Amino acid sequence: MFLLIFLGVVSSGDIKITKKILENNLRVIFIEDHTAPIFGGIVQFDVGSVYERPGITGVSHLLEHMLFKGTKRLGTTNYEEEAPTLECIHKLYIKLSEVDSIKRREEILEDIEALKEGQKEYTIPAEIWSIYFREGGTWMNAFTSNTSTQYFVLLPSNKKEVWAKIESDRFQNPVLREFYSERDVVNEERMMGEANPLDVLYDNIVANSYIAAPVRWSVIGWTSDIMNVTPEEVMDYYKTYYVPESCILVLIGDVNPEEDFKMIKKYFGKWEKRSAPLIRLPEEPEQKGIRRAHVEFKASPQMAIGFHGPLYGEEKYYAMRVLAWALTSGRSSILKETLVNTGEASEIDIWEENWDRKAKSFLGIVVHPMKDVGFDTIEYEFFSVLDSLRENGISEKDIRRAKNNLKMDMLIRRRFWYPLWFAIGVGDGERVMDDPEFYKRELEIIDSITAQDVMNVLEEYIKKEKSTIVTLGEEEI
Amino acid sequence: MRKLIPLLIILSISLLAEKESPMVKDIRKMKFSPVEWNLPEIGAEIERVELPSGAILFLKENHSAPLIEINIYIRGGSSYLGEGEKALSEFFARMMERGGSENFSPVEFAEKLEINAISFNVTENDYYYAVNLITNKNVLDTALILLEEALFHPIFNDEIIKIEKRKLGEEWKKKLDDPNSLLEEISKLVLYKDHPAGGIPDFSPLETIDGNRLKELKDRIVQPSNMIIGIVGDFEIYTMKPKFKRILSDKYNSGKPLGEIPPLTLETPKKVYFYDMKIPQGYLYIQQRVEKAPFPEMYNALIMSRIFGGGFNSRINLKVRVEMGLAYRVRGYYSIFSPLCGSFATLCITRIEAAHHASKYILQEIARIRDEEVSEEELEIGKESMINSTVTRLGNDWDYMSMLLTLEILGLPLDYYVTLSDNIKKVNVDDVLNVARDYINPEKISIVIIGDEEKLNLDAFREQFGDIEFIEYKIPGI
Repeated sequence: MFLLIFLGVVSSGDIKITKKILENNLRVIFIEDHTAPIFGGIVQFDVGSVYERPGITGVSHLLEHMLFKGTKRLGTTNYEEEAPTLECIHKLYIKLSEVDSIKRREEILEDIEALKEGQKEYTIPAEIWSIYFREGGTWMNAFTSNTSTQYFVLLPSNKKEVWAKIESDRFQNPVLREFYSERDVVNEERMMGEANPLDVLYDNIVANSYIAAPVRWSVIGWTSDIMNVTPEEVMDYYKTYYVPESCILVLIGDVNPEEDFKMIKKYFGKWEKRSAPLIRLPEEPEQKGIRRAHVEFKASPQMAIGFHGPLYGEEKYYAMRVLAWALTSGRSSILKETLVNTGEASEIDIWEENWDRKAKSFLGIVVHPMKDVGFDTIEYEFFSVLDSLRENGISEKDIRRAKNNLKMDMLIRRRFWYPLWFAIGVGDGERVMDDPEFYKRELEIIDSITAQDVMNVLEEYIKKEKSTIVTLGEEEI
Repeated sequence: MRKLIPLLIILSISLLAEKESPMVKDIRKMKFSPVEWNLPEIGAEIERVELPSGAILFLKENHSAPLIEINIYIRGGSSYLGEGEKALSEFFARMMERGGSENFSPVEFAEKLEINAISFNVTENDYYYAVNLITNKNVLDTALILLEEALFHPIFNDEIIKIEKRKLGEEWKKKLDDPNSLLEEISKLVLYKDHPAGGIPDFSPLETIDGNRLKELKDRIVQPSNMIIGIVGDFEIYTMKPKFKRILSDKYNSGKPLGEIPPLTLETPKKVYFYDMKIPQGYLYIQQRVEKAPFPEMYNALIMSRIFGGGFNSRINLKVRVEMGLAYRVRGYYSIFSPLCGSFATLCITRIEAAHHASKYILQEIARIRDEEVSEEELEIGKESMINSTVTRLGNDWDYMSMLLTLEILGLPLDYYVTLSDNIKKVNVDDVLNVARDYINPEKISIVIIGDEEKLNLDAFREQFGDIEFIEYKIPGI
């Protein structure tokens, strides 16, 4: 009965999506919405921390920072005159890394400071930001994940050509100016994560869950790698992965695919046709036995229980999402009824990572125990709930609630307030599944998931002997 | 429809630019077709209705997705309560959201919401409670039944009170584990010192609280006459209006006075507050109470704020992050929207051993914005960014609606955003300098520092600012 009543609860509106490809294989996706003269521009690259190696972890993210520093025609009044100073600064930093004497180091640092003063004559710091601000840009930023790097901005739609001109230059002719101070900034970003208990818990459960797949190190990288990576290494990485075939442009909003594609061709069409190398990533072996870790941290106790899941895009992956949401979404969800509504835990959250098919997906369930409730009690209750589900099955009502909330969440996040988020999702569909409209397929798959599908996933993946449990707190309680 | 904001195509008016890249020179030569855009007009696309009960209702149709969002601001919150009732105020919001109602137990209420994928949240915001409901249009009537139940027929069951207050206490503990949240709380403590909106939340009174106290609060606060409602989404105004006229009927007005927010003086001493926490960085919050909206120079203050701390090309960002590499996060702003006071503040999370350097640079920039004229280029970028971004900031009905609700609850003119561009255009270099000199006073600036006492150079801070007050943030009753 629930099925009949709630089938129509969530549906998505129609959106016109057009995909075009330049001769250099750069893909361009247009998402039309003419309700306001706004357009969002996203540049997406198929590169993230999974392509790094120990020694240069964090380089994808550092490169993202560096690509805000300008080009030979942006961020400088005269690159030809600026370049020798940049080169001298770089050589002095190399010398600095080779010298132990405090006195000599101080002398080199003084020389560097003098050169930096000279560089100011040419450098225009943060000029890309100034241009976009001036043209009415908002939501300007970028992010790096394990599998992609994405740059975005929202602009008045009459400024599309400004965007195309800047972005095409930015990704074809970058100059790594202010490299060393930005490296420090990135390390500060890393430090911020180290002070946050949830970030620490997340890093630890992922690192313990995966022993082979390169999702095991965090996107931001290790401090020693960040602080020692050189401009040459960053530039090599850029040349390897920032190529047209790995790039997708997504334009959302007041866009005209035919007309705007001509403009895109003008600016991006001359980008040399190249592909990134095919990297074979280590496949995560099957987990055989429970893994445990405890993180000493001055904070309220928290624990995360993690499982590997099916590859993103497979129907089983969505069955696992439905199971995860049935367990944790809302106060009437299965786990919250057992742990939160009874006063044993204050909250339960989930971490879902699909890793864009570069590794087995991940489901992490985070439990915040109440005072005086031990981790062992939570663990016992948690697995008892799963055993009970295995024995008694999952109700249609739980399935329906999970599916409705999952679809509503996708709809709200993708369409309601944040056109950029939706556009990023469309680009992800193209990048990972070769289908910019994959989000529609996802909604269909979610609708088709049955209680039996969920039980199958529970049986195959969500088992105690295949779990990783990480606790965090002042002491192991 | 009146033309409200023609988006300016400001072509190359800044001939006084100091330094320009070849890229900017190229962009200046570009021609852009004009973009004409109008903010949705109240009285046309947006309907504002004062219901017989006194509730103010804003409605805006948007059929881009089968969703409806309802935001209700209810005057109330810790500012209206007594000293030490901050925790009570937050707990009251929580019970409205989770406590259940006369017709639905808490479990039934949650099930009804969740099976229909209706999102429902109540939060406390110092001077109002924010109720947010998002629903698919197909289940709107169910959502409205639940909304009316939660607002006007709540029950405050003792067993639920017991569980929820423990959970709230645990959530506060977690909040204080995160230096970002802790900094926010301590900064608020300092900004609203000696005001009911300030202070450390005291959970002790919750030990003995019962449903009657919460019911008293509900009768005093949750009255339609205290409510401002904004609805955006896939509905027709002519059908939605009568629904809310019925839900927010006068019968729910108890007639009990809400009371007034006690005034907050702008006088605060220069002072440094330090909280010892063993973390790898120094967290700084430098702030001053300043004039709140409306005041004649507020547009000048907004431009000054942009130049000083708004965005990656702001002065403090260029100095502390780009040039010195001292921080990932540094930003400053002059915030004008509050019934208590405005605030001029800078946040900086920085390398611990250099935290005193970061604070020194920030204070130097504060001095510079007061002592020196901003450049014509800085002024033009600041103004153009505000004017040209009108459509990207407000071109979304949901964002604009929440801004209208803020204007309404603060009693500010509803055409604030309509006239904003014209007011910004008038700002000149002298205005920016004068507003900085008149409103920012280094002798009234306080600094909150969180960090590891053993690693921070506290003597350097003492040299810069004098005595440091060591503070603790311990919540009584949890």
